[in-house]
Amino acid sequence: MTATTMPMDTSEPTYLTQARGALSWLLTLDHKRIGIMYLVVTSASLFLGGVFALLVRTELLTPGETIMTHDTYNRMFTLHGAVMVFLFIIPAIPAAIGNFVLPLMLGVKDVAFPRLNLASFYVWVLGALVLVASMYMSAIDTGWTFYAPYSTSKAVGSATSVGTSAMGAFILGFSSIFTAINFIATINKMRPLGMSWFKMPLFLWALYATAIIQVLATPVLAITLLLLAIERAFGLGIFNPALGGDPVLFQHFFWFYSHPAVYIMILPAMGIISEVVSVFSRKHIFGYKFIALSSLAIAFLGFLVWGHHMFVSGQSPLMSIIFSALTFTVSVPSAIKVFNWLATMYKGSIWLATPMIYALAFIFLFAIGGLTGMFLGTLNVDVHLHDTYFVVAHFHYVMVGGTLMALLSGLYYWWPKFFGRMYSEAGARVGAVLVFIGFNGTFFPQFILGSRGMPRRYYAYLPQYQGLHMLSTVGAFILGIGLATAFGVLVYAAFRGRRAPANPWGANTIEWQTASPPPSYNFHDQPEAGDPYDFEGWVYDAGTDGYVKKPAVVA
Amino acid sequence: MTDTASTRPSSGVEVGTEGHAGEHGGDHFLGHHFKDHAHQLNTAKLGIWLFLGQELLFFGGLFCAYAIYRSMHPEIFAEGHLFLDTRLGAINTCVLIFSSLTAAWSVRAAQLNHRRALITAILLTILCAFGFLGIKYIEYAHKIHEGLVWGASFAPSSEAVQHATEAMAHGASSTLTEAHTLSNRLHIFFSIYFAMTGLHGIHVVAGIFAYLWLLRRAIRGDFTQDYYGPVDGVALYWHLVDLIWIYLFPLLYLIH
Amino acid sequence: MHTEQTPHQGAHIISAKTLLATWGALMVLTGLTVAATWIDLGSDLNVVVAMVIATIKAILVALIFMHLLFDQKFNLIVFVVSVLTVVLFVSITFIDVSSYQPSIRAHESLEPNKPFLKAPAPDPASVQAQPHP
Ligand SMILES: [Cu+2]
Repeated sequence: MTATTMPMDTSEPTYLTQARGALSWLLTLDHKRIGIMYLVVTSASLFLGGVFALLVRTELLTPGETIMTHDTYNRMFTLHGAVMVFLFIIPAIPAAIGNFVLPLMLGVKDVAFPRLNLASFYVWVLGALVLVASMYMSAIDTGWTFYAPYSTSKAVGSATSVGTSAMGAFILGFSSIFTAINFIATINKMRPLGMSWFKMPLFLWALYATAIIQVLATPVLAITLLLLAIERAFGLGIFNPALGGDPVLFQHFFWFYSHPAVYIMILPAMGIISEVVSVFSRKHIFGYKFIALSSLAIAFLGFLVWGHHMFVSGQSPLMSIIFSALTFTVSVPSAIKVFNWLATMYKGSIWLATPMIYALAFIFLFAIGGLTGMFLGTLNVDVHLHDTYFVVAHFHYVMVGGTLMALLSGLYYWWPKFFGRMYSEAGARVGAVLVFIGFNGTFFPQFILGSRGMPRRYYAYLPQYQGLHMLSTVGAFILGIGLATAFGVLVYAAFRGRRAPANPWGANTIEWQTASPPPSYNFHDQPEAGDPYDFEGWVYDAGTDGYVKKPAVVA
Repeated sequence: MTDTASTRPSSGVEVGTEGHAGEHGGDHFLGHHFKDHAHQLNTAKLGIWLFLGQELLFFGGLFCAYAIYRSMHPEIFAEGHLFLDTRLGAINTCVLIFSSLTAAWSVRAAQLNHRRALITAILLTILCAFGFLGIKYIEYAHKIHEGLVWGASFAPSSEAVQHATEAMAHGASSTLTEAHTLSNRLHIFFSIYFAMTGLHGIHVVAGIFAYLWLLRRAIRGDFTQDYYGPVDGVALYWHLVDLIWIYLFPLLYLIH
Repeated sequence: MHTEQTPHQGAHIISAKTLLATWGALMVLTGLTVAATWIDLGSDLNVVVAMVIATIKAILVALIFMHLLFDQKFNLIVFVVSVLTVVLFVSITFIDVSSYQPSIRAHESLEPNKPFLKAPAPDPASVQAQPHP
């Protein structure tokens, strides 16, 4: 009904102009359109979560009450955490960028199961609606971790919509699982001729490892939240000590998913960095196999360390020691990646375009985030630091300094492919600098606050902490302005930017061999897969301000 | 499916059915992004297997809860299973195993292009699924009537307790006849029992819907020896439901 | 991997005899597992026997009914990896719970057999809800 038989003009229709009207988007099976829809909704979630974050930071400007009551504060940080984790960070890179880029990188027309892909989007929307509606109608103040027995007891506090919020997150989990199933099947079965496993772009390796975690860990979260909701509704008693149940068991269930979930958040980010660092250093990626296999190693080791979240919550000393030791092993594959990126840049001709600026920010901030993770993984240090701002700062360095930087890097990198438009380099750099300054301004003081004993999730604090808290709040607003700038530049570019060439960066992964933006069916002819990091075949063409194939067979 | 009357080959991205006629010369059930039917079938099967993998982890949480409570509080299982009807559990096991056979048979029938056998096998599977749920209903109704329910609502009637005590005396277990009072955690057995069998039952219901869908398509004649992926996929799911029950039966009913 | 598709002409069809034999074996094993509870092997060993029989049944279902024996090997890998992940989850949790359990026991022994449920409503049925000796 929304079909548009395009007038036969000279330029062929792209996936954006192929069909018009809202229904042509809402019912699309095109992975590119689904990716864009995911991008829109996850960006909206980032905005929502960001607003909550700014409210929390504003409240913490002064030691006492600033703008809200303590109950509202508890709800605010729960909203911030739940929205950011479940609605933004987990789906952002795989479901938005991954959906768009993965089939293009493989040179295929679509993911293996296009309808499952669309279904996963609507499952996400449903889950998001349930989560947000239940939080809106009746607040939850458990934090995003839903710890029992506080979450399972009805009597306490105002925590009345824990059950429905948990069901929201439960539904969101299946969206994540469906996307993962699609990615694994697509990568396994649809790689083009000539692309063996070790000729795959590293972003695909990262998505593959991520998908493995999503399939194996997310269902455990699902059953945990389902049990939690049932336990609340019917008084099951499995997690509730008042009924003879075991609340520590809940934490085992929860962290069996939620530690690997950290790698669902960071692995795709690392994949983006692997692409960007190589392209913008004009140099073949260093240690390809090590980076590829370290993704799998992280996925595997990530399943063995969940107890480091439970050092002080009743876990036995025996398991705490084992989990602490295993936690350190994860740093090996992570460090392998960082050193290989650095080695790739060494003696490369580094091009400081915006994607690369964010990639450099990622490496710097992720290094801090990773190294402070070692402090927290150390059993005795954690006894001092647990539940302080040190933890808050650590995981924000990994999640925001890592995942969000990589997301921005990837968005700027693939934006020309998404919309066929170039962004303004000057505006984008201003945004990047603001984001970097604002981020460090927000979270670096929190390391100091935490090591001096400022507990997390507290509404009021001693006056001695106020200076650092104010610094952090100011940083948060700079970060907010920086992100607004960064996204503003992108949105402006999508509508008003100058036309992008097919390959603005001279990259050799397959998605750059098709037009920007690609036609609905992605490629005219089955593209050839070569070494994804061999840039020799491309040469700069001043006419289009992009790169063209060297043999110059331009017809 | 209405929105692309476009004649451009493989522009069928908006098409809502699995077939994208055009590239594959009018082969309605072959996705435009697959090379051939074998490619499509193998990919679909991998997808189903990944889904089954997550199902295992999904149930894994409950099996974990079971293992923890069984080992930490064995007495609640020793007492709890006496309230269950082993006969009904065993009958249900047989029903489900038979339905697994018919499910496997449906795949064979589809592969051989035996449409009548396919429809019969699907019907038998649906019948068994309803039979299973019927028996489950009898069990649940009885339990609820006796107050043998989950967690906080647990309030066994005196007849139920009497019954279980007699079963104790009859049973081979000598350790239990000494027990004069029921464990204070007995309600957790029923929480676990209802959680595990309930989740399993929901999967059976979902399986019925899947098989009804298959039935419609089989009657319509969609399936051929080239295209039988859905029959295979639903059967795999059904076998997993059976496989879970194979563990649930001894874990809940056959406790020594 | 993508190049080694089995052509669908070669898709494996399981013979009627094999299907029926598998079903027969499953029924026999079901009988066996019920019978095993009539013999007292000590509660630990009884659990082991029941689980071994269930696992044999599960393997039969997976390999034959679910075609894993004849299918692409990767599907078998998916299945095995999933099972191993469940085992990992259960066993690590198990180790932890069993090592902190003694401290809970010690705590509970202060209040032995403390009722976790509220006292039942005083109707005659539940008043005598204690088993008779
Ligand atoms: Cu962790």
